[in-house]
Amino acid sequence: MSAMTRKQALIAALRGQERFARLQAVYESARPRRGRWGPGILTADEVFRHKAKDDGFSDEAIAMFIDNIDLWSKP
Amino acid sequence: MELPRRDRGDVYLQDGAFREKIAALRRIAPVSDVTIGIFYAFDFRTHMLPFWYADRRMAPASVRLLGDVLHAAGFVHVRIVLQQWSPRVLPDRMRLDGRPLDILMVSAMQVHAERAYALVRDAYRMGDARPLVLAGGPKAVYEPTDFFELGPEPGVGADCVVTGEVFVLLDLLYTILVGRHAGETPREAYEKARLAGALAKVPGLVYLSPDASPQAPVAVNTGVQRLLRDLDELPLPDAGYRMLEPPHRRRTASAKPAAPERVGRLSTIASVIATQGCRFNCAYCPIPSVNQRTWRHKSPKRFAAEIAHIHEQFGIADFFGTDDNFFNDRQTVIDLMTELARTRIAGKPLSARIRFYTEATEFDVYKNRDLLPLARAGGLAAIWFGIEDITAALVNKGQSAGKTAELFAMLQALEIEPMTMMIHSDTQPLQSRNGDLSGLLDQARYLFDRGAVSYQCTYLGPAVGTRDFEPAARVGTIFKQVGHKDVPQAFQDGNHVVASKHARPWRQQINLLRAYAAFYNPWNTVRAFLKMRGGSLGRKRLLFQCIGQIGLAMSIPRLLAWARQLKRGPIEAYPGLQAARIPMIDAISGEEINWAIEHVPSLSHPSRPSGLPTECYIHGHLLAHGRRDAHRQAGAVVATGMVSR
Repeated sequence: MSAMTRKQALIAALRGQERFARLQAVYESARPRRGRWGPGILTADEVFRHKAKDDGFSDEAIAMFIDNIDLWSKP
Repeated sequence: MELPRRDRGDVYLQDGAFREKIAALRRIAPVSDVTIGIFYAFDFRTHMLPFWYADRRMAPASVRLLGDVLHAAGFVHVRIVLQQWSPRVLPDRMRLDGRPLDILMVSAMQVHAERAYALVRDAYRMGDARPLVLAGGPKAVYEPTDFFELGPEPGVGADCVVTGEVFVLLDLLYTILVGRHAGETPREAYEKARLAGALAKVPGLVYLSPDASPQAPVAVNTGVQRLLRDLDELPLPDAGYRMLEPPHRRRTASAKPAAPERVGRLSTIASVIATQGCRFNCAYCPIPSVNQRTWRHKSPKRFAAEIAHIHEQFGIADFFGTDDNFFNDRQTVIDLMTELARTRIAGKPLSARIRFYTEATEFDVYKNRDLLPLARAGGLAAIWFGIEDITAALVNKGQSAGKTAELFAMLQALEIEPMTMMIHSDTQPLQSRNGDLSGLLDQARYLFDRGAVSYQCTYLGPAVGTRDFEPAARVGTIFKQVGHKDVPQAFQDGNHVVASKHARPWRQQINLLRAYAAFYNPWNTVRAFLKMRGGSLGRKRLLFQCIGQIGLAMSIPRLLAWARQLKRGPIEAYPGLQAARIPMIDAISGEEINWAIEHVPSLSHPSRPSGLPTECYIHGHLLAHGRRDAHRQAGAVVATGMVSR
């Protein structure tokens, strides 16, 4: 499956471009931090997972997004 | 407690052993297939005060040296990720030439340890396909077991921790890879070596005992490393600079490392190893013991060649010697600086193109002050002085106000920048009452008046691996929690008050800020500006005034917030010595041991590490107790102390 098709499949799974864009914004803004979700420092991905879950995205959607995001992000 | 050391006659590796190990690794053909990610952990909570200026401008020598050595040993797929440049890159998302990591190496200082733990946790997201996880750096040297059982699930942590220098890592890689079969991953090969007891023959490692249950893990320590005597055996710094991940904010690694022509713009300062060791024996300093009281240095020719190579290849002109006390030995200074002074590049003196900075005690520089013109001719441009306290009330290293003034005047005449490093403590007053220089602020002002270019002041807290630590722990000086929250490791940076018996520790925290403000302030900036025409030193004083005030502006809100937390409390200190979170046993004797921190014994039965030959075990026990039948008594003795081999 090409990167473009996978992106479209992901957008469909997330139920629309708007939710995809929202998740992408959360992804881009997540940076390593400490405090809110536990005593230790969390990696950027862990922070993203927590924030996205707080925003109402399902575990499956988040996992799918992470699996596919690198396909079209800048090398 | 200090780190243990080997017997006097057994401190060093045999000459040539380092290069032989590199050659031996090169002969293992599959080595070139292995993908390695080296991560230098960095916690941005330490990005403060005047330190903000340098921490992102210098690619650390430690991880670069790893890159140089791995390249020399035949590893071609290696990338160095500096978290201060690319903080979001994650091991599980990293691909080198399209392949996931086979080995993850994490290097961390204590203040950056929490970021290192997050990297290790992230690698475990890959499940069974995760890389072999190796930890190193100062945190690993002093507190190796902190890299095990990081949670949230049991079993998450480093596979092996290196408590020594780069030779230990080479020895470990050789032990793992020499027995690796085709199709086997480095992690599988490592597990095989661990279960067979092969790791016990590599001094300088800590790993979890395969015999202990996951519910009650026990770490095995293979003893004190042997040191590389001849630092010239290290490869020339080159490959490490060519493996650096460029700065970005992505989770994935770039397709290519930073181009060599870009390296000099990213890392404007090159850290170089010229000498290692210090002859002082300060109770608060772990450096002499980690060097096993040795003094090592590179040959003058090698040192000059290294600086010339880095300058020519990467365009870096500023060099920071990672010396503990550069003026420790007079002849070494003469040799190194003479060579630097006579080295030429393209017909021009090297010293005219580069600036060399280093660290030394005031006492030694003063004693050898006749060498300063030679040092200047060799390119010496600044010395960081660990003065600590001008009155020598806190620690007496032969420093005094008179010597400081005389030395600083001499340095200014030679255009060598005097940089000062001070320590504030529970017993030091903020201001002198009797007109002397005992006060913190008096000393800061005095140093500026005498021409100091920069100033830093840290709060005295007992460091792990020093003689100060246990007495402080016994009397409840070291803070465990403040406001019901654990004190972060990043706050062990000397900028935060995290250990004190003072009735108002929050006031001590504010004292630190006041000391910085007494040195870096608009009035001193004007004074530096007015004296700017007095040569390059004047410009540097002005520059550092700006750097210091920016750093102060960045840090005041954060440090005041900490002072507020200290004031609100409650402050809970460690109530004396603790049992080890993960007990550690000696690989040969099987006895519980202490390592850099004294713990109360926690194992009721010493356990013999599996896979060890019996005679080896008996020998270890004989060393400890001098009894021929000691092996029969194993299981009955719990002892602390280290048996070095």
